[in-house]
Amino acid sequence: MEKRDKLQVKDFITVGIFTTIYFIVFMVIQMFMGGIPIVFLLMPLPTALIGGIIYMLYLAKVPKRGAILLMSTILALLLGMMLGVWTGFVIPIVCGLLAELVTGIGKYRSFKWNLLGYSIFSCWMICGYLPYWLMRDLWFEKTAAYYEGAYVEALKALTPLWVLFAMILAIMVVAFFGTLLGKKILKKHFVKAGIV
Amino acid sequence: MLTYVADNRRFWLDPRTKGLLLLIINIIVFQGSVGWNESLVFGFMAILLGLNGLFLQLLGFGAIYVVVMVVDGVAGFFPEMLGAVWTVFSRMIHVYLPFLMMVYLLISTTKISELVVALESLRMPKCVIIPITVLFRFFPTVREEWMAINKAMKLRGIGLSVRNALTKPLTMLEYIFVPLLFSLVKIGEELSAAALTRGLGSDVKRTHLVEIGFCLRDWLVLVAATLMLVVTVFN
Amino acid sequence: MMIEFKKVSFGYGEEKADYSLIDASFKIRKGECVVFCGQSGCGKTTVMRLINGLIPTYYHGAIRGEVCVNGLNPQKVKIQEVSKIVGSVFQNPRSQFFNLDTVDELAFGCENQGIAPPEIWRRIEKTVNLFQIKDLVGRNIFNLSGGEKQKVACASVHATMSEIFVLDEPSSNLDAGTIKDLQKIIGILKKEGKTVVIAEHRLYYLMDLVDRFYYMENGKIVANYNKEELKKTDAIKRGEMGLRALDLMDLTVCARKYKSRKEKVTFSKVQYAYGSQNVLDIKSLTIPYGQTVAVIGKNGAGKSTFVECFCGLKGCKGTIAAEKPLSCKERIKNSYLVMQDVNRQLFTESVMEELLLTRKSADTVNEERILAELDLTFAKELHPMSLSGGQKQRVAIASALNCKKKYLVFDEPTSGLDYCHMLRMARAIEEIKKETKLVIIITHDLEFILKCCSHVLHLENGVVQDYYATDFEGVKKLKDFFIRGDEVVEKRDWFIQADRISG
Repeated sequence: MEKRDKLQVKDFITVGIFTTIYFIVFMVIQMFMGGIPIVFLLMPLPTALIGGIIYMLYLAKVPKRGAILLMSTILALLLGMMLGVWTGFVIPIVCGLLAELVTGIGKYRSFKWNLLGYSIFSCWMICGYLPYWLMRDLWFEKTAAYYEGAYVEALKALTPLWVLFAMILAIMVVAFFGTLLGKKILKKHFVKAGIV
Repeated sequence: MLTYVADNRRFWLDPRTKGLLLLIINIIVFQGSVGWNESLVFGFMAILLGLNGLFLQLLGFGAIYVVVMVVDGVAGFFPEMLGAVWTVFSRMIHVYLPFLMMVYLLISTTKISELVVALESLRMPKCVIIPITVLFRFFPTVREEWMAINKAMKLRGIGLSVRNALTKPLTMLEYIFVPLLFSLVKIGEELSAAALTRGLGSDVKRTHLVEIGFCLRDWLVLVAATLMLVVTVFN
Repeated sequence: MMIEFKKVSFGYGEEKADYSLIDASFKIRKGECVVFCGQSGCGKTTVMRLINGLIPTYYHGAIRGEVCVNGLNPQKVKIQEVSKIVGSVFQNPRSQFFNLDTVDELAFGCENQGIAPPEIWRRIEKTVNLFQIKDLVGRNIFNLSGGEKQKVACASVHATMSEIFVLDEPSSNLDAGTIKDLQKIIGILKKEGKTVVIAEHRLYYLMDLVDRFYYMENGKIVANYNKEELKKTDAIKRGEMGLRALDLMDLTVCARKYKSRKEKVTFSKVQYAYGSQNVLDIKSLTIPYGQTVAVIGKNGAGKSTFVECFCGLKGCKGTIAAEKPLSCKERIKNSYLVMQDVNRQLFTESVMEELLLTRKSADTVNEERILAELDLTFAKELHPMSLSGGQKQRVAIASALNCKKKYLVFDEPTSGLDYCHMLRMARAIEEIKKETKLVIIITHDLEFILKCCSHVLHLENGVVQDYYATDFEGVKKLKDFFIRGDEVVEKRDWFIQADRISG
């Protein structure tokens, strides 16, 4: 018989399902907010909040080593293909790995460590914004060629380096509330109904 | 003998080609385009959709393209700030249009089994292949579930409206995600059980009914895409 | 001996006190067709899971005794070994496919076993010819009807050349016509010398196929019959055992009173089209209040579209009027649809909350009364999702009654219900008649129609074929439809066609 604390085939299917829901939520929010200038900087926040529900149920269903890393790897593959920049491939995996380690301390069942883990995990969403800072000159040069000058100036003014850190902080704070929301719904519904 | 019929494979491309294409298109989009090569990429994608027989979709994307062009054109008549926002909005759609077309092409013309073979040929491990195939399998399921839940919410008088979303966002989230997750978890469990009884995840090396492989048209498409990329980067 | 259970007991989870299967012993020979029947929760599904190896790979728990399947012990070997000799078909056709394309699905099991592609093609071809499902080859799973999905599921198991077929309530989501197809397929399997094990409470379609019936109660096998012995048992006793009718011809209509009132709903020139194709076209139809109408028709006859238009979920052309024409919004407000998959319409954390969701009031007198009427008082504080399928449906009904809906519509309320639960649903419908103006039920369940419907609306190709009361003449028509009427070949849109290349 196979070991139960290792990821098995049925867990891979669970990973697929939850990644799908999470990814769809991310994309839907992207579609609603992504087209609006400036507002798109806030895009990760609703995802971090709603994702808390999905993530907490996911952890409860698969409290095993490697589950978080695997989910972030799938996200990295999708994002990398979609963003067209290397940060998409790298950042989710880095965040996933850190989250995995942190969550592992609490054996995937400690609420505090799960909370911290999700906050770190959610930071993968900055991968789409990182080029503003990592390749700043190139990025703005390209953008200026395409968009109106006023917009590029406004965008430049809006994104000094501290904004990056502010975004990370904001994501983590919202993810904190997302976890609380997730825990509440988990307890109110899924535990009560005997699903987990 | 039974075979897959060439009919749905009018301009069949290897899934790896489509993957690479998606990547290239995105790099081009990320690099930011200037007017003419953006039309080039759009034209390229339009030809691909056409070759695959997706005329209706082509018409849809074309319509969006034209509308956005018109919108972009009238932006000049607006007051300055509004005009700027307006152009940014329209151009963003413009830029992402080829990307959406590519995603549509990838999803609608790639079978799950082809994807599996492609991923296996790239030496991906089982733990990555299975979730990705489930992902493809579940997109339509999530859509189906969501539409049914939406109906159920309307009937209960808790439909998703702007007013409800603004006055009680958390409750609305709960109403959407609780049935959705319950339903999907249940389907997932049944799917896992069914897949296990059919030997998914067996230690034996899998064989494949579908065959994939690069042929002339794959190379042609890739060369064309690479050329577009080079032109964009050195512009 | 193909399958042998020696004093097998099994309990889910860790607590050992609660066994779902107790001291089951039986032997099934090669080529036999055996049915396990009994009320839901009697342990028949557990037997299936022990045979196909899902216990212990997927469901964990405590086991005693010995299971032997073709010389293997599914408890000791890996499930992929078991999967080579045992193939499974499940209850829900929506969730047992891993692929989106039928050819891939047919090949899936073989591919997992590492069989060479030419051989897989050969097997698929053989299976397709045997099952006569050439028209299903190359279709998208999401465009198949439930019955077609179930056929593909059986075929894909057959392609792996499994010796043993395990079918867990395969008919529960099927309509009368496709149950016939399922019957044919089981017949083919039997002729091929396969061993078939079925868990089921709907028995009429199995009568001529089954060698032995095992009847289970509370986890124990309490009796076994062959066909003749089962037929000799008293019909009332069979009802108590949770078993459905053995022969649809024997069913008679239960006398019932209904009062057609003066008020009515009228449909005139109601049309709904997908693209250019009209899927619903009702010239004129009048349904008086007080009736309980069963909507019957083949797959794709427009039944769902009809009720969705009626509920206002789909905007249709034409008018639907009560005293005055009702707009879409008014129809949504006044009607409620209890869906086939009721999981999608339960939103809150307890049954009581579910009732109070849209109707806040200081006391819960009315709620208590409705719950009592529907036998749900015990579940007041429980989470709706922790209840059984039939109970969940009644919760949905209760929530509709509590917001004073005038029209109640059901989509296949009895799919998967055993006799007792079906009766309880029929009783629930009698109860709600008092509180609503009109009840409309889409159903494929003849037994259920005869228990509680006063009229039948027969749709075909989106057009009203017939509308009649369930009197003596009506019952004859109904039986004609359910027992004989599946000869019309459905029109199908083809995505890819299967081709026959000689050589």
